[in-house]
Amino acid sequence: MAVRDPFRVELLPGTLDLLILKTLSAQPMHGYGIAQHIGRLSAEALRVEEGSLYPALQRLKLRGWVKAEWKLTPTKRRARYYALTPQGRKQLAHEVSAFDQLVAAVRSVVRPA
Amino acid sequence: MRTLLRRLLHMIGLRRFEADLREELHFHEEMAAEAARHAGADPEEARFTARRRMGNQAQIGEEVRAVWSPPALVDLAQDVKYALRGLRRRPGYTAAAILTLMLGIGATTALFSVLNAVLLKSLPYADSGRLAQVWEHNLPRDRPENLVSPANFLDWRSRARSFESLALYTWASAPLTGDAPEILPGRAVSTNFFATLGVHPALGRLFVPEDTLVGAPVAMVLSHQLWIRRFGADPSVIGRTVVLRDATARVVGVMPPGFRPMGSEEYWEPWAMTSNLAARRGRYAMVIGRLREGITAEAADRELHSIAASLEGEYPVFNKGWTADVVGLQDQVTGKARPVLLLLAGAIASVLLIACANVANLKLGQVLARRTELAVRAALGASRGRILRQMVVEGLVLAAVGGGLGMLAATLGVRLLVRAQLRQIPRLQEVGVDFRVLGFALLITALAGVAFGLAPALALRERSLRQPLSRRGGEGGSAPHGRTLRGALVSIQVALSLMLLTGAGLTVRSLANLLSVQPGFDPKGVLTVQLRLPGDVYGPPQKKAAFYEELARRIGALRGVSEVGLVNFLPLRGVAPGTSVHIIGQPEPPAGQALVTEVNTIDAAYFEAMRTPLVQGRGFTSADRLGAPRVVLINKTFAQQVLKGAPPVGQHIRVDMAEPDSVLEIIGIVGDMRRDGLDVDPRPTVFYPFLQGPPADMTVVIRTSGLPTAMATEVRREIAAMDRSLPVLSVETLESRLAESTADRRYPMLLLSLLAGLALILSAVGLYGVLAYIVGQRSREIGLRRALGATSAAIARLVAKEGFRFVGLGIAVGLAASLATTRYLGKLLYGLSPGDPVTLVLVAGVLVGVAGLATWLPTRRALRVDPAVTLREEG
Repeated sequence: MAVRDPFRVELLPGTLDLLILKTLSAQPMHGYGIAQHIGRLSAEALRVEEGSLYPALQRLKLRGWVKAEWKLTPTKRRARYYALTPQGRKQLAHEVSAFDQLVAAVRSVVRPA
Repeated sequence: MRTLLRRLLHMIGLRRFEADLREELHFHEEMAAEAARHAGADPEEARFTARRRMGNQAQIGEEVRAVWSPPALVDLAQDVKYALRGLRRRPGYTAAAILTLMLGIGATTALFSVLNAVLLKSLPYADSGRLAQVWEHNLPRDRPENLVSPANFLDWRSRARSFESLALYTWASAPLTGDAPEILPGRAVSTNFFATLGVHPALGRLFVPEDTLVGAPVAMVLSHQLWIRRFGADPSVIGRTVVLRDATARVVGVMPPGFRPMGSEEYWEPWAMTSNLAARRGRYAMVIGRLREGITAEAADRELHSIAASLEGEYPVFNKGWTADVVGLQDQVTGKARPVLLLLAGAIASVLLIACANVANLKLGQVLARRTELAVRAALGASRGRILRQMVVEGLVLAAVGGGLGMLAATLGVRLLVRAQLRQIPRLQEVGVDFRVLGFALLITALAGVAFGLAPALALRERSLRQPLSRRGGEGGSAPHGRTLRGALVSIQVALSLMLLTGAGLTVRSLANLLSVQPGFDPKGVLTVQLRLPGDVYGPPQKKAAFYEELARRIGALRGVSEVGLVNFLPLRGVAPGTSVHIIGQPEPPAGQALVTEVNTIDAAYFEAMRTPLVQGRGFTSADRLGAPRVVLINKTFAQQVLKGAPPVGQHIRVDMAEPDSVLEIIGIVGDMRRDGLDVDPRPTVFYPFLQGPPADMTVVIRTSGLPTAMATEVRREIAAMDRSLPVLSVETLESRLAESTADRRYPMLLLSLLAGLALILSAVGLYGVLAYIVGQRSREIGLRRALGATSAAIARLVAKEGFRFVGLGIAVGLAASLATTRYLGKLLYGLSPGDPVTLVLVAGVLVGVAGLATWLPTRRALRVDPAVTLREEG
């Protein structure tokens, strides 16, 4: 097991899939890029473990939400790029709205109006 | 559904997947290292950091793979692991179950493979269902399947509408000279013979009508075996000429391996259907026909009956009392073996059933005994479905191991059976392990195991699963869980075993009866050598006589030889020719009711060499030769059945085989010989003195004082010394001949005995298993009884009573079933009735004895139960 960084925010269960799908909705990306992208956008608050990332990618692939393809990076290295399928795009919309509902629900409990 | 498809695709590209994953993770690590370097770390440290961040790549790989592997498969692997561990922990149960499966599956598969090949598979000819054999049938003499007269055949062929083609064939032979002279057995066949069977040559061509034109070169087709043996499998043999009797023949074709419709042919020659065949002179050929599409053998049979009836009217002298029968070829080939094979099939099925009952019984006992373990697992959160699946997997693992060993046993068994060369079972050389049969046996036993493992597990409701826990170790009370069911299984096993044992017992006793029959000669220490003098060298009778007399003298002079006799048809080898006989001075019997006798030609020393007694009158002397008055000997049966008690010596008879009108004087009577087998009553026989008409074929009967086979080389040397090119047809002892004549009974008996022994062992295991379980279950009760003062005898009675309740029921049912079925043993029995009480009592006794043994071990365990321990546990 990799040593866990105690200062990082733990991901809510189920949100990793959402983050990956969202990242890929902009453009196809390889695994390393996905992790970097999520880290950068969250100002390094969210850190994606490789041990979670790659199983998650395979899970999404198994469900048919992403597809994978070997391509060359701008620096001419071979990397496996993941891209959203039309089905994945639908799933993303679905997960975003589910997440919004969850956040709203949590907020209404934590900070009652 | 889609997901499933993707998983399947994933499995196909598994190797690719692993490589991709490795490369992907490697790429990730390098990128991370590069990023660290850009951030200012030194390369070594950057790599180290990256690697640490990546954690354990193997671990990631594991998790990625887990995404793809179907969840059931992961559990299945675990179940198999558990099952193997569990089986190792219970070696007794495992060994019993695997042994049962191995024997059950192996033995039944081997035997069913034989049955299947012989009975069920069709013959190796095109559309073989339409092939049929045609026989003549003498009604007054009750001789069905008689050979056919070519003249009648020609009439059938021109009149019958049921057949697409009818082919005629008969025995032929060709001496092959060279370093190892031999006489090739062959067949002369009408040119449409091969086309009728629908077979094709492996090499060259088959016969065409032009082959039988006058002046055409004689064509010859070789068997595959002969081609390999004598011609070194040389393809250029086609077109080569060989010497065939007094002419040269050209080899035109070679048949594929295994084509030997009559079992022994080495070659075929064409038989011209010339006009001289139309003369009605004897029945010596066989006929095979291909039925027209849609015509059954029965319909053809009816047509041939009516044609034969009109031929009877047209040629009464030759055809009075004769009709013609059509028999489907499949029936013809397997007909005689069918009852025996069906009987064996029943016996095999019984053993398979017993094996199933055993597996079920073992499984049932296991589940019941493991209730505690199952309860613990349920309490720890295993779902009922999971536990059930565990049971099924365990059954399947057992079936796989047992089945694998069974497959080995089956292969071995088939090889043994083929080697045993059951003479009565045709086409044995075509038998291989039949994998459909193997699968069937495997399935049945596995099903039995799984079903009976599941049934009680299903009955264990959640509540009852936990129950044993509250009852300390699950050895609770006398709850008769599954006891009745297991007892019933044992009863069935005992009943089936008893039936098999009865069958085996009856056949064993029959064989003993048969072997105690006196054959009328003494086979011990006798070597026989069969010779055939070629007609072109030994034409005149004097020449043949001189040769055989000199040979007998030379062999008689060898050390260790006490007597040498000569005979043309040795007992136990083929059928001697029979013909009608007339007693001079008695009125001629009406047509078709002539008296019939077999005819044999012997020399003066034959009966002495065979140790067959002269009963009355005198034997032949060297004075009974050509030119002297014609004399014959008769056997006792002839005196009784043909002469009907009239004083035989001095009577004159006329036999239709000798030259017409020659009158023969009976000079003596000899004892009867059983020449067609120990179970066939002797027939009336007339013996001619060899010197008054020496045949070309003779068998030399050599009585030795030592081991007869040891003389074979010296005898061959004497033959070669007289004529180096003379082929020896066969050299064998009379005893081996006799043993072979009982093979038809010996093998079914052997197989039945094997199966019965197997059944007995399996049943004993089953009974032992049940009793051991009951004793274990009731050990508390037994302990209490002992504590209350029950004697050892009382405890033993208690256990025995349990056991013999099942055994008694099984024996009763088995005896009833045996009485109902043993009559199907029919011809296998000799000298006793199917309900032979001695056998039944003996067999029941054996079963009771074995049951007693199987009861003894659990009883001993029951007697060792210590009342003190029980009381402490109760406390």
